[in-house]
Amino acid sequence: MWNFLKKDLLVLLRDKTELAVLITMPLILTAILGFALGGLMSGETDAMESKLAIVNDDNAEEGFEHFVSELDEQPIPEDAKQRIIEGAEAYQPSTIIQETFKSDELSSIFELTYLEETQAQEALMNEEVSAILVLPEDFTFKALRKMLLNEGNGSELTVITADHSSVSASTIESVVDMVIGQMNVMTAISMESQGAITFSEYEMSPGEIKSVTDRDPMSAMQYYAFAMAAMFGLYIASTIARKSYVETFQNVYSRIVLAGKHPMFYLSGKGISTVMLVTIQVALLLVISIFILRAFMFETLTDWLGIGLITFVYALCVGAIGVLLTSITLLFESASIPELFTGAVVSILAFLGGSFVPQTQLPEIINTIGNFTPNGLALTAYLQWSQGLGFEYITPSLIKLLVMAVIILVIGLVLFPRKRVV
Amino acid sequence: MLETVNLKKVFKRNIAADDVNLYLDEGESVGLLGPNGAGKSTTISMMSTLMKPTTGDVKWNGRSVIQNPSEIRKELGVVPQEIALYQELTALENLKFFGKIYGLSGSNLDRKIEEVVDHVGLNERQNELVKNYSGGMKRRLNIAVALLHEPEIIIMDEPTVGIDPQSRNYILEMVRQLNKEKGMTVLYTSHYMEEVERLCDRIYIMDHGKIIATGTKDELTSILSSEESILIELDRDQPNLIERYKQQESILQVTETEKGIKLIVPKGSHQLGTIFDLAEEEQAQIVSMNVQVPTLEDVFLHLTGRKLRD
Ligand SMILES: Nc1ncnc2c1ncn2[C@@H]1O[C@H](COP(=O)(O)OP(=O)(O)O)[C@@H](O)[C@H]1O
Ligand SMILES: [Mg+2]
Repeated sequence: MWNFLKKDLLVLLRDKTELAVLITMPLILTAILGFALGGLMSGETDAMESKLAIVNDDNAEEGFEHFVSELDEQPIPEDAKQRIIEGAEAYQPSTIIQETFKSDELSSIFELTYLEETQAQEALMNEEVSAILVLPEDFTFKALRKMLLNEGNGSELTVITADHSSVSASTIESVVDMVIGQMNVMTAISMESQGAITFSEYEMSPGEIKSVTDRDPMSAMQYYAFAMAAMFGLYIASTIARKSYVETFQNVYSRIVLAGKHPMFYLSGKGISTVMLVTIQVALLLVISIFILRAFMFETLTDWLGIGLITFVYALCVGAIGVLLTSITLLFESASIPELFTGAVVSILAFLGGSFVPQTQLPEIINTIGNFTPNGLALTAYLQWSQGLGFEYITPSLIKLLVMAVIILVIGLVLFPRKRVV
Repeated sequence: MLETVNLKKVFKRNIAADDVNLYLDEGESVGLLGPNGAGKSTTISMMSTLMKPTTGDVKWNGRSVIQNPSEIRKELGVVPQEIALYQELTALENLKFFGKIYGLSGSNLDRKIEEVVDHVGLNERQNELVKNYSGGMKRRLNIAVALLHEPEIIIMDEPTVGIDPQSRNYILEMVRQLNKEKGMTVLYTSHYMEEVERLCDRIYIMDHGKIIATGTKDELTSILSSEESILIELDRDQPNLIERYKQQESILQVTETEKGIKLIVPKGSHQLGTIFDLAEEEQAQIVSMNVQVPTLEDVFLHLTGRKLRD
């Protein structure tokens, strides 16, 4: 078996153009898409500068006091209460939101002004500001209560814009989205690591803030690093299948049959080498994204292990696709199916799975379909995991990937033309 | 040792092999001669278990290879018509891969590789990628791979197609050694009659899927023993003269060649006078004239009315 693997790996490694496509292309795309879309948030786009009015109807101090006194009445151990209070201090929602807009990255895009509601609306009409962010009454109290005690309905941030589709308005919306998403995650992580109370119930639903998973709170570069890795993994399957066409074409496949090797050896060699190549490729892409493109960084070993697990499960699924495509190639004695896969199917899957346009910006229906593509599932799992969501969030995607792998593998084995030779 | 019984292969459009009966005895060197498309590769594929016959059977030591393909596979080396090698791997890597799938390993594998590499004369360049090899070197390696597992019988499908004369000579000599010095049984397919004439004890001539003649070289050429061929070279094209020769009943066959005309006449029929007379009447200048003993090419021409290379 190792003999077959070694051969497949060597053959692919010698094919310089193929390698270049499989490794450098995704990196280049990550860099281009990451920089292009990341520019929106890095302040390099002065043309985008816009004025944001903040209407602050919330009294953060009062809200905090209110929260503490409510906490006092809860039947919770004293030291747990203490930790919750520390958490609440560290993650004061209104402070975080305002600080984010004042941060180095965003302050060059957004000019902040604090206004009363009526003034703000007037300014919006006169196009003096492009959007209004409303922190409603009792925002701090309601958000903290929902976030840390899972009580009440939370609170809702409102972004008011004159022209919903203008670039600056949608930028503000997405920044708010992003901040909220990150805040949710931060709270979730910090509380979990303190272990004061379990978070499973309200991790995803603090405030009116939507679940983190359909948000896009990460840098464009990070998003595309994962998106491209998921997309280009697929190419390995068709590349392997095309090589198997060359093998029949060059008659080496006959030699393998003549040597009395069961063709299943050959086929499983294809599957396993696809799995290995995808694993290596994705690992390489992510490592380069991290250390050269500086797309993102992982802190803990667990982060890495999770990414490794997702990669491996995804690779298994692509391996199954490799087997299926190889079977079809041998069945029809033609490379047209893997070529079609390379030429069109990968792009379609990549689009559906959110590798080109971020999942959040795709219509719901496409995201639903995308959830049935292996690359879409892998990407979702990568995003969830890298946002610090726990293992239980990525499990459904991983299970779907495994089920898909089994189904595809079975079809591949059934189609495999055993009777091609005596 | 290996024989085919009424072997037939029907493809959608044509019958590639039609009631082919041939056999090989141990230690023999047998040639299968025929033009392109005669059905040689098809026959060989069926004999080497790579293709199922439509009807008929192939027997290895009396047992059907269709039922027991693994028995012959162990003892069979096949040199396919195409170069069956990984172009992206080096010669050594190819040999290692194929050696291992035949179950060779360790020092045993290394020893075998060294032996076959020596035999095909690729010692110095075994670490180069196959795709950088010349046509002749690829052909040699193609043969080497088939020899790794020390087969009893080797089947070669046009192993010298498209290479320079020097490499061709090398390969022919190699095959001769395998047969005469190592006692390997050889089935050699070609459309070059010189090759089978030189290498093979016994020859089958194939055309349109059928075996049309068989025997040793002498037996085959004796089909023509009652005829002789006369080659005449002319100073220029002489269509009229060819017509005149064709009308002559005592001349059996007239074919145009590159330089002139080839005539087949009954042996000892003293036609030279007529030939000269007709040439003079047509005012054709005969540059040279050559009376030949028949070749396999002539036998083929005689049997089919066509030339081998057409
Ligand atoms: N797989 C195939 N399908 C259909 N026709 C084939 C196939 N293989 C060979 N043939 C036909 O069978 C005939 C014999 O081919 P082949 O055995 O390759 O001849 P040779 O090796 O003597 O040149 C040819 O007419 C060829 O076109
Ligand atoms: Mg042939």
